[in-house]
Amino acid sequence: MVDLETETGNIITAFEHIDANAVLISVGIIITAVLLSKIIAFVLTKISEMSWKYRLHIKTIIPLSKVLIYSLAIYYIISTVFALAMNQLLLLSGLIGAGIGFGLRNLFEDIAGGVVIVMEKTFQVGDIIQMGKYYGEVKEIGFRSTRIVTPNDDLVSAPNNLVFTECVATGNAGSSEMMASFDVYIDNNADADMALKILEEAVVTSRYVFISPTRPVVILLNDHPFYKSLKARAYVNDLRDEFLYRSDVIRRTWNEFHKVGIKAPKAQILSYDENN
Amino acid sequence: MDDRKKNKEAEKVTITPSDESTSEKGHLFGLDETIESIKDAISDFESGKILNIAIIAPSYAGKSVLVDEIVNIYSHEVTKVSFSSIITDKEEIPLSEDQSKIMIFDNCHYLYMRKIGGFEVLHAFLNMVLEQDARLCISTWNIHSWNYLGRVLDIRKYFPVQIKIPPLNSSQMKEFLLSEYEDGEILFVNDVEAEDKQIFHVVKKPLAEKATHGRIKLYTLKVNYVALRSLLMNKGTPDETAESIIIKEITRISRGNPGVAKKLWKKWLEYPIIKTSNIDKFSPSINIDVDSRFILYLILSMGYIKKCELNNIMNWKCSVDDIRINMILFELLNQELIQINDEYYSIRADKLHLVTKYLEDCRLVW
Repeated sequence: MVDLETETGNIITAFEHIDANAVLISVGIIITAVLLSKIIAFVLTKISEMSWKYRLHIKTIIPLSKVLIYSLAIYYIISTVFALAMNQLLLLSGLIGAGIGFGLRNLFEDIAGGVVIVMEKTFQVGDIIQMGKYYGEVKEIGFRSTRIVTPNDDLVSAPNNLVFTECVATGNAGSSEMMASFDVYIDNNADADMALKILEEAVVTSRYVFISPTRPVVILLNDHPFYKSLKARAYVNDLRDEFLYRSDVIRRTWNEFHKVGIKAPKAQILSYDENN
Repeated sequence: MDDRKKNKEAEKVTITPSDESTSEKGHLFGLDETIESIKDAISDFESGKILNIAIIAPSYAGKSVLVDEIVNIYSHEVTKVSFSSIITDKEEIPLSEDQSKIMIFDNCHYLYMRKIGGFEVLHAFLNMVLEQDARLCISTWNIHSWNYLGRVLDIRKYFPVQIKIPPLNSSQMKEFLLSEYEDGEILFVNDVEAEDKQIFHVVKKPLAEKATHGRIKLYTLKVNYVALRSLLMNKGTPDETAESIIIKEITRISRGNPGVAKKLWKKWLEYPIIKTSNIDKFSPSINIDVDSRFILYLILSMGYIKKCELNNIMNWKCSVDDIRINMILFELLNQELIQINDEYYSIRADKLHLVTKYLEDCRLVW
């Protein structure tokens, strides 16, 4: 108890002796850390964009480097500039946590969420994710928020604490390729075998498709009271081309359907997903 | 290429007497083991076991030379059918009228198109292969088409024996490149000793050239990978001869592909001298759009292809599309990635590996 009081007294003394010089050095270190993390993020992003194959692997390093740089900067300021010993450091952390934990609870939740995302690799920069109600490519994992670019090119900042409260779905989990599935609906009287063959050929001949033993193409037929639905499941070779892939396959499929007389259903389509 | 020209008029070429054969044994470098594997498969066939063979190779690797050699060896038992452009009608495949025991189908990648309905001819061909119970089918394929068809149609099942033409090593490459010269006819000169042993060079690059009009320059370090590699790999052999350096470089850049190596050799040779300073270390980066990339892939996977065939695969039919394909081919020609010869577009030999690597990175080549 006496030790705790002594240490608290020492910390207070240490803070009382903070001079303008120490504050300036601290600000300098913080600015350097921010600049360094920005430069590293910029360089790694440039390198990753040049290498299609290793784009996502390289981008994984960006949030890790940020955590490392900011942690080192904070540690350096506290231990060297303010010259606090390790036990004083721990005590200070406790005091700060208790003092401002209630006031800035959300901010600390976001920071904790950011650390969890980076350490657990819930998702990575470059992944396509569904987080809360937002869907898109992860552009940046910050301490407070994750920036997502939606298919409409909106930049959304989703707070990191959503990882604790919402389910996060990732379409590719660190891979460059991603499963993209879509449905095509045809009239009940249409030749389903022919339609399946055309759709399969449209998928496997697409310039955006990626096929491997672990990334197969699957074409499924489903029957409904007034129409038939065909589902194509395949991997797009670059997740950024998900929508181009769908458009390419659907366009060529319907061109071919028209040639062989396969028609769209006359009945109103019910959502396939709703029925399954 | 020779085969393509030879068979331009007739798609089927039947070779019967051995004295009419064209290739010579002396021109086969590094193919001895491959020929032995083919001979073994043919022996198995003669003892009643039918194991169809697929010979797989990238462009310029010597596939046609190998096929000619097999035709030479088994001249009285073989019928060779060579495809020189895309076959769009299955009636064009000469199927069972010939009674030869061994059928060789050269350039089978011309039997499919990467488009909807583009596999009909190939399916008919594969069905014909399966129906042959007293014949051995030897087929040759472009490696990129083979890999694609392997993933899409599982084509490996139709050809249980798959033979990939192996790359030449340095000593085989030396023998191959110098085979047409007398001893000592070519003079190898090492003229880059002084400057090129530096591993790092300081290079000035203009920063935001358009905005600053090149007034502000950024100093960067450029790594001399050739010097770095030779430092790491040739540690202990500082007195390497010019001949060894040049042959090693050609083997490395061509990845042991004899056709590519020959092209590089001809490019660097200033007869009768070849200098180490002529070695082209610069590999430009490729920057093209999605359509151009796909066209480049189609040219790579077919080896040689006409503009009308590209149009057919892309399903581009109207006049606007014609402008589009002309523009893409012009761009690819301009970037010196492809060449046109007798209406056929092909990847330039010296850019083959650059293009392959680029398309691998784009995941168009699997």
